[in-house]
Amino acid sequence: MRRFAQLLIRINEKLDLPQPQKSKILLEIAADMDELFNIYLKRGESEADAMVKIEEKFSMDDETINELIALHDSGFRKFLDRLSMQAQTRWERLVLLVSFLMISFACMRAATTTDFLSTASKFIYPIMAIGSISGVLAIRKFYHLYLKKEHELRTLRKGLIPFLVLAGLSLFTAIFGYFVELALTEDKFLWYGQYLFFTITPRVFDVYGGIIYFIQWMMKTSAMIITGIFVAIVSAMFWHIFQNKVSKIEVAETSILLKN
Amino acid sequence: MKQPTIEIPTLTKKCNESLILAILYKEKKHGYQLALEIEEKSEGLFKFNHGTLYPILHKLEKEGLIKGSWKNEGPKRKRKYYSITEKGRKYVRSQYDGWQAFFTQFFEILGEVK
Repeated sequence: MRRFAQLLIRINEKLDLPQPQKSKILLEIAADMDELFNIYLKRGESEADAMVKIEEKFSMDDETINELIALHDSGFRKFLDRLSMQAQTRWERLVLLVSFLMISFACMRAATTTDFLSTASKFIYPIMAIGSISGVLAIRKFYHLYLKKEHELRTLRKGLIPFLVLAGLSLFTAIFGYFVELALTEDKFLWYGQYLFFTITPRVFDVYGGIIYFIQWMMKTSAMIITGIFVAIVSAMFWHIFQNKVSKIEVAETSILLKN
Repeated sequence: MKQPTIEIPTLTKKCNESLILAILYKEKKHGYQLALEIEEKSEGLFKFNHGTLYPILHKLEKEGLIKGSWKNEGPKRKRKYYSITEKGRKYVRSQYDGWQAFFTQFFEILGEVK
């Protein structure tokens, strides 16, 4: 089938369909080309003449391509095709904005009302903002890959790297926040430490107060770090899921043309 | 019994569909075999561009008149073949009367030039 790669590439470029429909059509055409080529050879034709005949017989005009697209396109893509590009962009932006507001609202609510999160350091807020952005980008990528099925090779990988960047940023914010909190309470820890160390008989109240203060600080920072790690893991998971999907589409797009 | 009508704007498509269903009536075939057999049986009168065959086949498959199946023929080699369904058989039999009526009327009108 590699001998027909050029013809298949031309059809592949014009056939604006998502995977796996596109691969199945190209596979069917490629297999038939191969069989017909062998028949021409058996009839005594030269390879060059057989190739010319195959090129003529299997060339597809725009009308044929459009018929194939119309037959195999999904209902959702056909609905989108009826909307103008401007209308599509406006709707997409509106849905993204609404998604961002909803996710942010849910995160803020959790941060202020959930016991675990309300005791966390203030650095929880930028971490949750990073989580909201990651969530919105995931919705956007999901829409383009799975619903709109935009499987053009040059735009497939667009929007994947931000997930890794956001995962890294979430971890960095959590670690940075930890050291900031440590710096802010360093004096108090030192004071308690010195007081308890140098005082011959420290009062139970002071020992108890020191321990409570330390535990509160641990809860504050651990809530922030756990949330930071969680957001990083979720963002990395988004990257992994979309990366797999994109790889499968890329392999499907190219393998049919390179099969022998 | 009301005869099925053949509308002029869709004449070529209906003709191609009927020919394909007729070839598949007896046994299943691959796409390229359909085009070759139509050419051979018509002694070269009906020439098919193989590329235009696929929208027709996929349309018939979508309408349930034929069924496409994939067959593994060796490692990394898959080929699709088509077979007619019961619905397809009924449809093509009903089309036969329509075509007969069409050509009868066609030659009656054309006969006036003789």
